[in-house]
Amino acid sequence: MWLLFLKGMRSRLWELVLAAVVVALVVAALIAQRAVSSSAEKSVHDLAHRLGRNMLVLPAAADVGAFYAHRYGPEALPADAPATLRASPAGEHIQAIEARLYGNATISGAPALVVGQDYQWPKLPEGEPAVIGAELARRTGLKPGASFELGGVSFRVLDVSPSPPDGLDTGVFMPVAAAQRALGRPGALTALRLGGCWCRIDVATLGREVEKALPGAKSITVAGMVQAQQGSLDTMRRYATVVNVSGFGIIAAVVGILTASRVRRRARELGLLVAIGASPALLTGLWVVEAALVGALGAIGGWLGAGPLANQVAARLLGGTLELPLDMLVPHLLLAAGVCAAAALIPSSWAATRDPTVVLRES
Amino acid sequence: MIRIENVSKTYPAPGGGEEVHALREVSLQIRPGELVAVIGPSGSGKSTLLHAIGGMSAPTAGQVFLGETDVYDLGVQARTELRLKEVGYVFQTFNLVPYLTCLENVVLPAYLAGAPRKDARARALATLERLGIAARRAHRPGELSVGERQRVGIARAIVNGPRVLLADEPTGNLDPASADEVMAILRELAAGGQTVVMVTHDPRLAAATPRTIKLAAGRLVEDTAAGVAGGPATTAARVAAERSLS
Repeated sequence: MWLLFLKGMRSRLWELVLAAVVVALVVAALIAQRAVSSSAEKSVHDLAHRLGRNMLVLPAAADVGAFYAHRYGPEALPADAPATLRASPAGEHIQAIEARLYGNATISGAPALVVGQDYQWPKLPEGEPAVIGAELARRTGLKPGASFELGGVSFRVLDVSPSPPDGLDTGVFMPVAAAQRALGRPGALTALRLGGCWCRIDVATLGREVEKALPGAKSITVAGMVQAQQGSLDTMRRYATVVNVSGFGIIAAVVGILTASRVRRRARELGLLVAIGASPALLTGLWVVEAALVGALGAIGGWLGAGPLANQVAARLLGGTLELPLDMLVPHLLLAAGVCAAAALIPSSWAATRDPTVVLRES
Repeated sequence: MIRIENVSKTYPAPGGGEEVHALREVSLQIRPGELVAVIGPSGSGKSTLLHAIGGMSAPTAGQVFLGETDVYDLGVQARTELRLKEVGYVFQTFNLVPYLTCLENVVLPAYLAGAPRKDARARALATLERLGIAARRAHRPGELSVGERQRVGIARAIVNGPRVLLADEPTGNLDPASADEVMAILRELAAGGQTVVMVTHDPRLAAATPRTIKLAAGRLVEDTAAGVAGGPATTAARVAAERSLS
């Protein structure tokens, strides 16, 4: 009965488009939520991978969230913190200590992340050495060999790094002492990176030992961070279940109400079709297939719209872009089609099995 | 042959009041090729009788036969098939599907009956030609005059070549000229061997039909085929007599 199906759909195109748009919006929201959730999960794994066996020591007053968002405050560790740590009982477990000073600055009108780090920097007669990230180079126009000034200190660009440490492509890397002068923070350190093999001590115990040796500091370990973020993810997952159920509930309600409303308005047509010999099963089938099609098209539309939506959300909340969970495409398609079909089944089967004489008399 | 034996139909009253007796022990026979007008005041059971004959509304008591088939002894699916192939309906308000063209409205029952696409369209077109409305085949119902719409309604009712054509006040919405045209078509169909049962309020049209059945308060009070006014007992006796002869 393609004639009735296609012509019927065409005659109610705007209603169906409206229903598909509702499905698309809900599906897009669900996918965006899922993408954000997946991205957060991935960032925890990335963080764990990046920290590896290392441990990060920050001033106790530092906001860890702000630190990872590259917003640095005035808090600092004392300049002798590396020596103090080496001399402490925890020192025997630590193979390497890298002291860093982080800060926010502006170079040639572009915002930059200053990273002072211990490294075998060369001595230059014409100024302090610096390596800059590719994005900062693009924004400032600085090239290898160029000079710039920061906080009254002259720097010469040794290199432009296409893949700078920790992905800081707006970073300017320099010796710690030069960073302290440029940022006006003599003797200040904002982070210690500890490396080594914690074979004879568990990470949590070492963290406590470090904090005991450096009062006013806090140690951040992979285990602690993953545990904290895992808690957030678990909460997110719990909400995701509620959001998914609610989302598909909304789809079912909208399609069900829309179908019921259309059934009511088309009662005469249905009564007529039954009167002239159309089987109720066929008519119910047409409505259910139509609803399933609306659901499937809406889900596809939702997927097409989910990318930009998810990236908008990601840009605002996470400061980056997201990958859509492609493994959810087919399940979402089937779920949306199934929910719409189920929602249309009840009103359409009720209408198709009504006594046609009553329907025709009423209408 | 349509045979109705002691058919009664009762509707439950809305709000739990007294039941509505739409038909009371109606019995009659209609032969193939007969054109019968069913008349009576509003609420006398005319449409209910038509629906009972067409397999649309099961009687509370009694039996309805189309040929040798007891209509309400059939299952729902079989009765739907019967309605599709053996019975055609013409409605007072046409009941055409508004978003389909005339040709598509007419071809619909043929498709529902499983006719191949090409065959169904050819049949629908031939039916429209027979009723003199083929030129309007690509128009939608809203673009036709009421007389033309009713012709499309009749074309849809007869496209599957049903043995019985049931028309519920087919001229009720038409001007006298269009009504006469529709009556001429119904007469022609009856002459071609189809049994036509028509409900009408129009005494002029009823007078122009060979046989008139009159209902009042759900009872058959007059059947001109019997030659005299008669109640259920008279008709039942006549049916019984005819059956004993056959």
